[in-house]
Amino acid sequence: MVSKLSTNSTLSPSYGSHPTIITDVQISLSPTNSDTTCTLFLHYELPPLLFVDPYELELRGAEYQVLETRGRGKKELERPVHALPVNEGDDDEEVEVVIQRTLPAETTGPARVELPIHVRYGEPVASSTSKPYTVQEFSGPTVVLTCSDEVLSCDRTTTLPQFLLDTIPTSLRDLSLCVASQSPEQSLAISAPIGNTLDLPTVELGTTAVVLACFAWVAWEAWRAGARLREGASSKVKSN
Amino acid sequence: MTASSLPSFTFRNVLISSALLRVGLILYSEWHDARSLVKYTDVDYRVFTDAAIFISNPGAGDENQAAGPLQGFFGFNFGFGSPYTRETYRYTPLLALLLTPNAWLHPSFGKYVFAACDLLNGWLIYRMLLTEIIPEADQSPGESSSSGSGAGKRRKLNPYLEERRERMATIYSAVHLLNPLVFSISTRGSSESVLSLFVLATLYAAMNENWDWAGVLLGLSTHWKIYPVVYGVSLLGVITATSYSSRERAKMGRIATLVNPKTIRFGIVSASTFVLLGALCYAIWGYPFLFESYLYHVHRLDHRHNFSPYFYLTYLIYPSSSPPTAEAVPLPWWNELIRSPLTSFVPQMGLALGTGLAFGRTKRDLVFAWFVQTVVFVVFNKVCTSQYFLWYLLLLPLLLPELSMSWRRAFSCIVVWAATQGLWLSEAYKLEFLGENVYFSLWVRGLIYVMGNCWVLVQIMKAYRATR
Repeated sequence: MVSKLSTNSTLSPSYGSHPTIITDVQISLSPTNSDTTCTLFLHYELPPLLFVDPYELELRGAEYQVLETRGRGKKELERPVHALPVNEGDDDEEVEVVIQRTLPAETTGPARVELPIHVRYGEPVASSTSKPYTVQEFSGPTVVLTCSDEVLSCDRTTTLPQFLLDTIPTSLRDLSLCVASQSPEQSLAISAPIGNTLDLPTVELGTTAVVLACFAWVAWEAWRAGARLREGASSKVKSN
Repeated sequence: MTASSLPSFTFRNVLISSALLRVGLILYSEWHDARSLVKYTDVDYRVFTDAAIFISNPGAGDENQAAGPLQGFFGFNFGFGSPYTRETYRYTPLLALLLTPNAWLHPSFGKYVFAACDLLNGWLIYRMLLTEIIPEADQSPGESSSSGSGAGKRRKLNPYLEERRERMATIYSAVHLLNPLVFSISTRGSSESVLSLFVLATLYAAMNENWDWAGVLLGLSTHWKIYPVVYGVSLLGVITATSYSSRERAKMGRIATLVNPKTIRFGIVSASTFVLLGALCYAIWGYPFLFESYLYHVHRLDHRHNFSPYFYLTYLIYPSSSPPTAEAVPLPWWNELIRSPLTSFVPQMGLALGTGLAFGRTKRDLVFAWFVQTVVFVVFNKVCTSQYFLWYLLLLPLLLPELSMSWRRAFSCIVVWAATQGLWLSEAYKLEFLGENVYFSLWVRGLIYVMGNCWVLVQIMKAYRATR
């Protein structure tokens, strides 16, 4: 029997700073050995605008394990996209994440994997529309299925990314693999608002004006309060 | 149930209720977090716990090792790892050290510590209200008690007056202990209550005129977080007022009221404590301690949205890591000045230090001075999150007995304070969760937040010891 593996990913929601990549994996295989365990590997490639929080992913340990992450911006969780360090070691542009999930024996049917991601602030642009957005497209994960003690016969035309191949444990790498990925036409997209540099003069002057005005106001009222307290203290001294 | 069997409203009962509430919430947090992906526990608590694990489990070789020159003492190896192995841990290593039982005793140990600090804070507030603040407030607004030891001044009061003061002290301390912002923050695992304890202990020592202890505690507070350093300015005038007679003070110039043997001693004790703690931490944990605890905060650029209107300006001018495609056009001098850090630093520190000098003249005004200093520090800071509000809300129960304002004005202050936050939060929700481009309107609401909070502060300054 030919084993089948297919995947479909969606982004929920496709807006906001904290969406989740939801991947539904359809598995159809019939292992002959009841002790067989199967393992799913999902390889995500995220553009610099998006990032994962590895500590957050650790909390999903019951669902899956994060094997490896790399990429520029893997550590700089707090910077906008245009301020990410360049040429940092061998980290490429994109963030790559590989997660592993063990499946029970006799696996057939859907398996859902959810990866929470976060959106950085994008690079501001000069926009006459006053409220610019950037739309970032990216692909869903490449999914790999291996089963111990099992020879999988499945269609495999997708080339595996080297990072994924290197991350799969050696003992499993030598087994036959089923691979599936989303077609380019089904790429994911997120819309993110970005700052408008044409706002800069107004924001600069407005912030400075309000801060200085409030500073003067509070300083004046503080002086008056201090004078009142000193007057009260000197009145008491005189009456004593 | 008869009236006599109802639990009476005593401080002891408030404290017990507060303790039970906090224990209940901590137990709930464990139940909730085990079942929900959306956690009750704050992200920061995970950061503290990870740092505590790292500090108590050094790695092999160079991995996760304390980076300071002092790794042992007379042959005894400290065996510390580095809490700064945990990204985004930007606190003193003493906090991670305090929470090491999170790793080997129970993960919620830290929450119980923070909750215990909450209760201690409530007790300190109660004691200061009962022994110092309410008795002072019972005098006329223009009067201030004469200098002298605070501890033994209480005359024998009539029972009615004593009962009234205890009731008031209980009510005001309950404002802190039963404040949802306070107990939710500590039970979610934020460490603010530890710093609050140090700040209140400093104030308590000052009220009892134990200036050496006040110096030590101020140094400790400042080590924990930098902002309490501004309180030192207001303490100088109070030290002079309580240490010298009015005749001696009359001969002093303004400079001498701030710089004299007593204040110099206080400054030395406080600075020495700060330096010693810093030196010890540097000796063990090295430059990462210095950078993450202090230097990072000097250069940080908070571009993500927060209450401060500076966020949008920071975002729009955030330096790019890529080389510029065209030659940068030099800015006019006034533009450089506006973008200079001085434009934010001068108003903030000018007010924080200036109000400390203006109001830090008598012991009675110390709480007011610290409250005003903290509010201006928070409002004019380049970044502001909800946790910062705790810094001055902590002092509010101590200030209330000295405020004289109508119920209408008090209600207006609460509404303005809350509404400016609500206005901002409703817009921030659109940005963060709906992905709408509301940067400009969010910035405008940040300006409204600044103006609204300044208005509330001005009302409080007008109401402080105002003639009834």
